[in-house]
Amino acid sequence: MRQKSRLKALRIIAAFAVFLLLSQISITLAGPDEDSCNNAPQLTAVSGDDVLELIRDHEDGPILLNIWATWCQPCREEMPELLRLNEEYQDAGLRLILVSCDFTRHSDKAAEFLGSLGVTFETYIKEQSDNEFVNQIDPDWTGALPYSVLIDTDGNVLKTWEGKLNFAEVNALLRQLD
Amino acid sequence: MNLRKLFPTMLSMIIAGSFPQFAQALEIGTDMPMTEIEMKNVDGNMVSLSDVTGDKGTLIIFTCNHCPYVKAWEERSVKAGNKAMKAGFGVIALNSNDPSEYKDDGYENNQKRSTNSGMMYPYVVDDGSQLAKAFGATRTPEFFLFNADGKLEYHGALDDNAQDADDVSAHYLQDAIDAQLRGQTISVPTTKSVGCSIKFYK
Repeated sequence: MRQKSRLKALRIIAAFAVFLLLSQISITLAGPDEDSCNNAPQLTAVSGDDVLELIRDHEDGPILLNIWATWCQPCREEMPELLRLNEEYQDAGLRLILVSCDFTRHSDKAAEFLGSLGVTFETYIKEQSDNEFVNQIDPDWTGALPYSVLIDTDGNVLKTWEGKLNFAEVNALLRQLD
Repeated sequence: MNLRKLFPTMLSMIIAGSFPQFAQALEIGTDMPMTEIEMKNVDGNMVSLSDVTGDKGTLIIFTCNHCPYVKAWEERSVKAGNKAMKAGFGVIALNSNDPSEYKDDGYENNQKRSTNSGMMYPYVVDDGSQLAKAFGATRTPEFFLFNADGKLEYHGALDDNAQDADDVSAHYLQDAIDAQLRGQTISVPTTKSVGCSIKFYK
């Protein structure tokens, strides 16, 4: 009887050891904690005037301003393409300025979304009443999201989009600037 | 023109006139358009704007079911609509979104939302987004307040804080309604908020 108990105990220990080993393998295969490496930098709170100042301060190339939110489906849908454009025109000095209109208490959610797409550069979040923010950015903008503006190196507004961007149009305009 | 040289000139001053791509919203003082178009209400009946016109005026709310920004304001919005009705205004909510874009914006969900939120006023399907286009509405939620003569008196947001009802400092719509009831001029007749773009029927 005592031998049987010992065998049973040994089996339990062996099963536990196998379990630990398999857990370790699965952790190794999955890589490090995904959340910790997918988080983009925390978003910087801005007003509409702050955004205009960011535009003024970038003198090395064109600017694509995109105002978005995690709760806006078209915004989420077009974000990967925006980031691809940003990569493609890095050498031309393009600066992509992303301003989230998520509630400031949801800033982490916006950072998580951007992080999941590999964003590591500084992005922004609106911290101002909607009415002031929209009117400071552009009184002709009704407030509907997404909203984008393409500005050339000399500061000329080439095009604005209320709703989803037309990427063929953006590409054509950026190519002209090359 | 050069944006950087002109800073802090607003972006719009450069854009203005060059890219007239935005829908033009009705101007203050304009007559209510498309008053006879019949739209399907949540109770199955057909309703037009002229059917709901109130003695004191009419409040028209462009809204939808899926938009989180609408949901953030939902309780306040329905409360404001119900209160306006009791004050003698006609009130109607319109869903102008193409449900093929968002299933949540289908008719059955209009019915559920109307019941769940406690709307006392009609919630109708703006088929083809006809009224949204005529009003120049672009986002949800968006409010249009007309006086008893059918002239637009206020257009814009409910208040200045979708995020937190306790932190609202400007009650735009309520102030407009109160001013209209007192026969006073509305001090802030147009305001803006961010919101979900209306998914127009194609």
